[in-house]
Amino acid sequence: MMVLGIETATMAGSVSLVNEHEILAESLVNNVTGHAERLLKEIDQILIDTNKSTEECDAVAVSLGPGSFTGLRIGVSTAKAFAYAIQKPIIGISTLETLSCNLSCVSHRFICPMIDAKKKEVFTALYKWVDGKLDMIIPEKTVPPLYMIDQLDHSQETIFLGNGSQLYATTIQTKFGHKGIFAPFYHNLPKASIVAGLGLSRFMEKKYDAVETLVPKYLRLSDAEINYTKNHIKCPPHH
Amino acid sequence: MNILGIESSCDETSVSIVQDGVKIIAHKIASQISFHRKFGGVVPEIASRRHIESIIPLMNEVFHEAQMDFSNIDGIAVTVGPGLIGSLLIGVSVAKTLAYVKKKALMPIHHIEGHIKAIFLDYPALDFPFIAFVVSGGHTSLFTVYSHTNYEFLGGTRDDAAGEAFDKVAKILHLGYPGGPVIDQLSESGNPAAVRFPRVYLEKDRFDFSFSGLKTAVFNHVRSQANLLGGYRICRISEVSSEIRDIAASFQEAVVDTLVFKGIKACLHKKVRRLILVGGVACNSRLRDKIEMEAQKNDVRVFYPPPLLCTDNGAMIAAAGYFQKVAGNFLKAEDIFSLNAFSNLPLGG
Repeated sequence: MMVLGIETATMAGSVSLVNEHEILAESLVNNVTGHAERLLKEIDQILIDTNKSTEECDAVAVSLGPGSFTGLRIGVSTAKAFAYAIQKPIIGISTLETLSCNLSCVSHRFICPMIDAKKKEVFTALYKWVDGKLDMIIPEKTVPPLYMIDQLDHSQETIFLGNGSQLYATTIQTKFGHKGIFAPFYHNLPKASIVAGLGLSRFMEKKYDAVETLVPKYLRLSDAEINYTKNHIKCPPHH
Repeated sequence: MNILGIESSCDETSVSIVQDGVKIIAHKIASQISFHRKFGGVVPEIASRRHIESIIPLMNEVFHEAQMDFSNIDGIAVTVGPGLIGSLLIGVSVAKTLAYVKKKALMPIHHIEGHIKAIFLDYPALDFPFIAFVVSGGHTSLFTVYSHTNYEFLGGTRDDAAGEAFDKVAKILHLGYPGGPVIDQLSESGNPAAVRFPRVYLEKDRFDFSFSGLKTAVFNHVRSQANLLGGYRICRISEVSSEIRDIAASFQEAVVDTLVFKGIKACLHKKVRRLILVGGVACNSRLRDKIEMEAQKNDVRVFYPPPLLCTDNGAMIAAAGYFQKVAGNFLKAEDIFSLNAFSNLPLGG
């Protein structure tokens, strides 16, 4: 059983092939400016390196976001076309869950991933490992970092990771003191091998997504919709 | 030879299968107009979100309608630009991946070339050379077309495209989006000579266009007429006042006069007797009538695709893909990987 994982939610682009025992291959480049020009080449390269064909993939797992809208769409549209072409299942995986799984089985601490959402906001959630499973304590949302930090219990040891936690480290430290722990830099990127691994688990449970309808998890409206709502919410209805 | 065509450059997602560049086997378009209407124009982020939702279902429908699968497909054609970058990237990512996995030839297609090739879906035996007049929401361009791969750029708009001017004027007149069809319809009962709006011909011996001044003239005219719009909102076309109809007709007449003048002049200048009119604005009834009239006087024959193929569609991209493939212009495996989308892309120098 082999799953192709695709991760393009942030500036770090990665692809990976895993089976139920191990990572067969993974390629990751950070600070990528154009996923479009690189992604397919990297998929081809790991298939060559592992001497596998596209048809040998049993499923495609893709990082669904939240993250960069354009990056997500490149990854998701590539994954959709790939799964459609090989006629195998597609599985969408949360980018925040992917990021949190960099810290597997840290059961005595909370895990708070933060991905920079620009506009002084972060994509975030709160997780905890319980009995070897990652439980979501606070659901995914797009909020100003302080809004999230104020919601957390500052007396509990909490690990922060992701580029959002680096960006707002001072705010976190001010509130959490020594209870706020920052993951080392090598845990700050979402990785395709984890996308593929989580996808493989979902594949075994036959929890597939529909290739026709799968879309990125944006967790934010377009600017036009936000402004439209702002401008129209106070207007009385027209008669 | 069957080509799968994919178009996602603006606000229509479209997938088609075309045989030998001239015969539509299956053709599907998902228009997004209803999602953009309340914003008064195309919102790029919303357009991208709709494309990624629509593209695989459309492909399913097209294969189903054609009773085909990938084994019947000899190549994949996709619009790579110009257009909205986020929108283009959906089509390009999907087309690249399909071509890679299914080991098909991939033809990157210029959007305007697609519009021009739409004519062969209705006139498969059209002779070269001809003048191609591309008039749409994004383009107002004239080309001499010598062969399936040889285009000479004669001129284009320096600011707004003709279709863009229709949209902006419709917005000024509170007529909603898109502006082309509604202005066309209202103009039928308006007086085109009511307001003398400027015709901007620029240098008379060149084939460039400018419509932003015209749009401003309409704006100033409306502003100078107190209470013309009176805070109304258009619900039904029948409720639009005669003054507004006159402005719409007068504006349309100014656009049409400019387009007809330059289009016919290009034919005479290049001594070419065939003119093809393509793009969304080619559906405008006044433009068709007037250009036919002028063409007849000058011994020029005008051709246009059916309305469904005037606006953005995958069939025209598949048609263009066929002619490129036959000419040997396609990407092989190792070149597919780095293919990107381009918001700006010239055609024919």
